[in-house]
Amino acid sequence: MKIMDSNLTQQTLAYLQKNLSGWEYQVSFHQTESTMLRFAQSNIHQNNRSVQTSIGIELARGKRVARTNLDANNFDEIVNSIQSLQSICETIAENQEFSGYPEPPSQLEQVKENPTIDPEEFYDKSLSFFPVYFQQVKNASLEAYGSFLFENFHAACVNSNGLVNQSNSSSVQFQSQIMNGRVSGYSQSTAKTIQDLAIERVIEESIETCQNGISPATIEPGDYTVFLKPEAVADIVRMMAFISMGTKAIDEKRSYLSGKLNTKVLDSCLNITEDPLHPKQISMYMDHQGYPHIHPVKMIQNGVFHDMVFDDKFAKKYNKSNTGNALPGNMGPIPTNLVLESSTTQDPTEMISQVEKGIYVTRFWYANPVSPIDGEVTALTRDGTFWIENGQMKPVKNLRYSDNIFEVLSGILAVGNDSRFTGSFFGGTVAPSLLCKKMRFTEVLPE
Amino acid sequence: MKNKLSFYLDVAKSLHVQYADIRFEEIHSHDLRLRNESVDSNRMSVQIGYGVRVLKNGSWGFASTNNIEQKSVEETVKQAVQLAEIAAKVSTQNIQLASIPVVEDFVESVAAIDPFEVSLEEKIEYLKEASSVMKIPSVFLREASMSFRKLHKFFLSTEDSFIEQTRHETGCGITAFARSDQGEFQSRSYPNAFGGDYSTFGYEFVTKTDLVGNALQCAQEAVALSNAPLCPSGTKDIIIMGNQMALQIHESIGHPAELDRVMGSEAAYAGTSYMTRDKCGVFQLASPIVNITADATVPGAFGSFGYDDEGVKAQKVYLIKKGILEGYLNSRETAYKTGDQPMGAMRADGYWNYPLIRMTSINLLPGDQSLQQMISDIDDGILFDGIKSWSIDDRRMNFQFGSQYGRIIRKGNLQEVVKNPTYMGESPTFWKSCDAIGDESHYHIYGVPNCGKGEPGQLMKLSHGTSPVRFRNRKVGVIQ
Repeated sequence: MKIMDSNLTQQTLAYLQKNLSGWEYQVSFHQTESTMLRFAQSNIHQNNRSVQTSIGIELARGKRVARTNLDANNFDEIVNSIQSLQSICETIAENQEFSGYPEPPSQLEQVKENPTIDPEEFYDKSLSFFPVYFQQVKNASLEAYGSFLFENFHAACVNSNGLVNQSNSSSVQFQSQIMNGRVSGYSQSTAKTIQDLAIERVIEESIETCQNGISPATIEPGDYTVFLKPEAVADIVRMMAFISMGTKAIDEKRSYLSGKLNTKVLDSCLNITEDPLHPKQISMYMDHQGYPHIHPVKMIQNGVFHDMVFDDKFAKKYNKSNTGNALPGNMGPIPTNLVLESSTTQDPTEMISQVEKGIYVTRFWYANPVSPIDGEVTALTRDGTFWIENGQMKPVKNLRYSDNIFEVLSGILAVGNDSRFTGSFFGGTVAPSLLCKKMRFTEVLPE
Repeated sequence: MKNKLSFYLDVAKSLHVQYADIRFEEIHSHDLRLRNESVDSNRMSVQIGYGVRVLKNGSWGFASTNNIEQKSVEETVKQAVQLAEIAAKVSTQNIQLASIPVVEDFVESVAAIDPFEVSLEEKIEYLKEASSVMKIPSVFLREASMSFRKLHKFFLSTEDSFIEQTRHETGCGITAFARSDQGEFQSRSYPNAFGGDYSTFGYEFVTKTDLVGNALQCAQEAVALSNAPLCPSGTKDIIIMGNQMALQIHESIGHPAELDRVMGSEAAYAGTSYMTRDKCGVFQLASPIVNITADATVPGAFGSFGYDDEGVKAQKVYLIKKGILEGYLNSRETAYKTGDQPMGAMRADGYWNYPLIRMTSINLLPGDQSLQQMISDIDDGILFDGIKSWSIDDRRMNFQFGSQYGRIIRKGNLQEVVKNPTYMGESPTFWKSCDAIGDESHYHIYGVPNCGKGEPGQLMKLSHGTSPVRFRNRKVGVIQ
């Protein structure tokens, strides 16, 4: 049953309409069903199934605002919480930045609902493919690590301006890390349905990367041409979105992009678009205030910082259209469904073959901003780092990079045709492999 | 409650499990934040639910829900059992548990003043006052926050342990954001970044932390940073202040001492560890003055508790003694494999999560030097204060950490402020270069509210006791 149709939702909405005349309010209902199987040493050693329903209620009287989240499934508790919020709003100091809730769009465009994952289908798939996968890995004298999971998320949002919207999102993900002692290989696939999951490709890639990684050599730190696989590119784009592309950070002059609208910030072959409806994206079609999140925002066009994303508050401040990018909490609007593309692409094998000397990165680990306003980030390579010389690859020890990520993406030599989705805490990124002219590697890790 | 939970476990027993436990939790939270003296966020939450963990055919299953109606119980327990059966069918493992005493106990919160009994007005006024003090030229943004949690938890196992625990969690902090005339932006926090400091005391912790009394210095240091030169690069002696040392202990000692990482079960995500089993008892990991404990028994420490989420009583054990690797953080499952006693480190972030091996309060025991003594013995060095940035590899060897605030040390004296100070190293080499640890008078236990681990991601509350520490000949300042 859809969350909007549940008795509890309907009771809550009826109560709000009857008893909160003259109040501004926003109520969101969330329903999550998820199951994760984690494996290590070719055994499923942990798993976690969770079924949760929660309600978020925010009330405002003028600029006096209070919010509560409830796990409870009990209508009386919801009413108690609403009454408690009403009393708080009578006395609490004002939030000077509160600007109300979004008005409903003139027309609520209908978007095709996302499919829902059936848990029994997930279990059947687990029982059929894990024995084959583990055996395949064992036959190669290797060990399998990783996770297999699905999540069904459904949300509904209602506010006192008459905005009523609901959306859902489902995803299934398979991550395979293959290990041989300290040498490892990795790949992943995330999809909207179990049928769309590229399980065979993930197994093949992760085994092959591990097998090619035996006896890594040491290279000197320095500036190198770098080939980044889609997961490594997604990691950079995710960090870029988090520290630099959020409108609040730009507005408060805390971002590398502050004051750079209509300025070239990346290589002119790159376009980055916030696009939840992109066929490879996995997203709800509304934001955390229930506002539709369906129109692409061309943030970087031909390398030029072209546009920003907006929630209701910043749309009012900048006199722009709400793009449906409200997030929970007070982070302000941040793009969460970015797509990095280029008009010209190549096969990744061709890209590697043209490298005289460079480094191949499977993915990064533990990225963190060193100086967000400068775009300076540090992270380590993981699960397959190789030296490329005249198109030939040899394993090398993992490396740390410390560099300005905007500068790294300002020198692009080639863009892959292997675009795929990589999930993150909020949303995810669709990105291809990239061949970048220069990345600064500052340290070599011990084996 | 025991009878109610027994019914849950009866369902599990009827499905022929080897072992089962249930955690029923009620969690009340309140987070309050002011930005420029305006109430930016005032959020409360209530979470009530349970998680059931079963061991069947040598494999684990876990399921949780916040549907606490009786009719959902059977379904949730069956789901946990179904997952254990799936795992068993495709795995070759045979998980066994180290034995522990059966206990029936009640552990009460150590809070003197229940933060949920303090009026919202009083909390806001206090934060407003602290924020107002930071209102000096060049400080364009001021944040002041408090967060509180009240936890009531029940644990029942098929071995007949029944434990009830209550716990308060209190945190508070301030941050000043300054911009120079040249547009340089820097921030400074007190008593630490990421919401400040945390404990399991009550509202009395907020009073003791004294945000108001420290606000002006915090703001002045933010302004100084916004006008400061970049931290120089090179090899120097360094002093790491307590709040940054908490991070150093956390990342390069605490995480690698988790036995699930050591034994490989976290390899795919969090990674493994350089503290391999063969090194235990013999590996000189740090200089001989370094002694580090995992101590969940210190009253008020954020990493303290009565019992972990397997029903193991809180303990104090040595991880590092005289610089040598002495022990690990473990679980009943890993303790069975190593032949050790469970030391009580299995904890879950809420009823909806499976317990993992987590840090408790990982404490570097105090040394014998004053901060002034440590500074006076440095010819060319840098002092690091306040967490800003951190990155460490998946074996916890190579790290690069950044602080909010740096001070040049020249010929035994603290000199000018430097911005974006960073230092890097390889964990054992770094710890071996430690030649002085601050004395008891500088010792403080810092609460950490956001330790991430596991899939699905869990955020654990823990702590690190430490004084300022000196390390010799370290690589600093990577940004050119």
